Amino acid sequence: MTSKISHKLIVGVAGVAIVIIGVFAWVILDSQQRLLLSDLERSANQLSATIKSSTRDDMMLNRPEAVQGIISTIGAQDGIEKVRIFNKEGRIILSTDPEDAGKMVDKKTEACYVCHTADQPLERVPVSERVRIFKTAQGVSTFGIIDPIYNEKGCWQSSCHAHPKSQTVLGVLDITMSMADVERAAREGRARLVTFALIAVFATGLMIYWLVGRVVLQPVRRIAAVTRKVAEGDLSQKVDVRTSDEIGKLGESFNDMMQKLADAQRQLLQANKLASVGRLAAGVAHEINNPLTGVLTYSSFLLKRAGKDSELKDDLDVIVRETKRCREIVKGLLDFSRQSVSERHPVPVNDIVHDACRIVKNPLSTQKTTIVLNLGENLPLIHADASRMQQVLVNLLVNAGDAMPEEKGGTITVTTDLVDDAGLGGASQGPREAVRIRVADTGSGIEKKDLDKIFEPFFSTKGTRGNGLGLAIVWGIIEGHGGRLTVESEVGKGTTFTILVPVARPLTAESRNRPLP
Amino acid sequence: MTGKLRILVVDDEQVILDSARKILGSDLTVLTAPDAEAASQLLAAEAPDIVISDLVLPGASGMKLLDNALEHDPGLVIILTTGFSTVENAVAALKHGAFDFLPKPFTCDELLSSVARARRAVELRLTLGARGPGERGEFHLGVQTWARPERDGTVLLGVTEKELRTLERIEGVELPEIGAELRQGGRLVTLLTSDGLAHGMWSPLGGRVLAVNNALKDAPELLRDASNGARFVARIQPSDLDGELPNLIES
Repeated sequence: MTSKISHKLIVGVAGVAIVIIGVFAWVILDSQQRLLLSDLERSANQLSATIKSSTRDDMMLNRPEAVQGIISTIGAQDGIEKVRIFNKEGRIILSTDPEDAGKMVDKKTEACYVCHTADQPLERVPVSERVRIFKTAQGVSTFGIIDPIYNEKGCWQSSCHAHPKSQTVLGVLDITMSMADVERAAREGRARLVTFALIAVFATGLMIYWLVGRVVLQPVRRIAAVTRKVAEGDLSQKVDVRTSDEIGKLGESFNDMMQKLADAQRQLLQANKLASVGRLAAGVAHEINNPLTGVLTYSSFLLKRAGKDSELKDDLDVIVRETKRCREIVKGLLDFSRQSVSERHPVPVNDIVHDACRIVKNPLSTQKTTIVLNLGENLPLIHADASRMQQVLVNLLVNAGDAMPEEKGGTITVTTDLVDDAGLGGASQGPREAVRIRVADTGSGIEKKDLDKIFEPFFSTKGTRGNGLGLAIVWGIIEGHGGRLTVESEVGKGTTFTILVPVARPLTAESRNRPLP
Repeated sequence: MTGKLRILVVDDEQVILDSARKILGSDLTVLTAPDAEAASQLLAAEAPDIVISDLVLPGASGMKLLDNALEHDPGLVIILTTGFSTVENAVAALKHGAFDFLPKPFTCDELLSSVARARRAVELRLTLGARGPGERGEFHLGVQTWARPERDGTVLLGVTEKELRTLERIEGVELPEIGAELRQGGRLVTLLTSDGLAHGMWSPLGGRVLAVNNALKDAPELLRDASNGARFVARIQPSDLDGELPNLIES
């Protein structure tokens, strides 16, 4: 599966490399060929001029043997195939190849058609049109150049009177040269280029393979491995994010998703736990209240009748007091079991904070604890049960006060502000605005091992002072508001509780008619 | 038939029946029934003056027993009690016409307080079923307390005239604290009377206490003074007026 990605990439990249390098090679080869040809053309032209000038005198003196000697000497040079001179009619007068002498040249052949296309011989032809490339009968690529020999004063005034004055072109010097060298050079260049191209494609492929493996496949495999572990149920897995590229972002998103999933699972677990504890509490409360009534009525009745027997009175007092304490515990359980959020209305969050602070102000000031309010202005209303929310804040503030070192006291900072929260109200509803309430204390902090448990029912670090339901109730209330409660703490520095509550949306006719949950 | 009033205690727990007999037996004739069926028979045969019944009974619910009994005898004074003592149950019981609600577990004094008021109600032949001449715009929680919404959105809370008539001389009041959150069916005020009893009164509405009638601290009997507006106990900012008013009886 994963190797397929690299295969596809390599095939794709190699294909592109082949095309690019091929075009590149073709362009280079083509220009190299042109260069070689123009070199050949120039040297052929020079050679032709040299032959013409060196044979001029002998021609003037009409010494064909001397001319033959010169062209034979020159024609013996390496690479020169033939040097021929033919007259205007196309008869070969002189040639390095003795067999050619006296033969007629077909004017339709490649050597002639440049000037004779319209059966009308052209007299002046540019160099580029005088050259030709053709294959001999033996299949050898051959380069040819023709050079017309023009009539001049010396020719018609010469004593032999061979040429009349009216004739412009006396004949043609034709040199043919083998292109074997040129072709060999081109072949060699092509071979080098092809070799280079193959090496380049191969190297590119290797590099891509390595890069894909390192940049894509390894991180993807890491993420896949984590995903498998998550699928097996281990939600604590995290992707080791090493880069900031897309794969890194993918890893981060994955971690973020896992964090949210773990949170959601924890919340669900907590909600289930609270619900079952609630049912248990309701059942227990009903069952235990009957025997408690027996104990309480009898003991309080006895206490009433104890009269002046102070020792008996004191003992009965203890029974009544402790039974009343049981009553409060059961009442707490019952309250906990019915912690449904009843009526929710749009309410200003800062008012709730103020009210809660007013309630706890006195007990906190005796603990030398001060509350600092840092409330956001113009916050939207929250959709909340005001008394329940107040209960939440009072509970958190009292806890914060209890966490302060005795004698020294401390500071509780309550902050409210507006935040965007994507996790509230279900992912389907998209990002929502939420009001955030933070209660931060400078108290003793909570140990890491306890931090996960503090919202669980019956977990308490306060010993006999607490029933372990306070934060569970707080959690349930916030949950009932569709909000979220989180905690951060550092031992010795303090604890911060963060509440997120969705802001109230304007009531529509539809939502107004809908029964509240 | 002696001059003693007769009280029927209905509960499936023997210990409750025993303790009721022990505590109330000196002043009242105590009849007991362990279930709804026995209670119905005793109601028909003995015509008790007061009934104390659990809300959850084998056979039928206490609420049903209450409805049947009141239909038969609208003057019957009924005190409902339950181990599942939620405020909703208290409020529902009082709406159904119960004289009082006694959450379990209760102390001897709490039982005596409730029964003392019930006895007084019987002696005074207070009509509990038919509503008495309450003031217009008042909402009552049973016969016990009233709530009067004011124009500014706040609500005055007080103890009904009928309830006050069942009390001996009031010697002290324990008022709620300003800023406290009251719950409907929770404690509003405790009245201490000359017979040594403390009578807790249920709050008709929930909300935040804005003010209390401090004059009552020095002169608790002012509570009975209908001539001026001083009868109120507390002024609250209701938390859910629309939701809670239907639980009350409009006068």
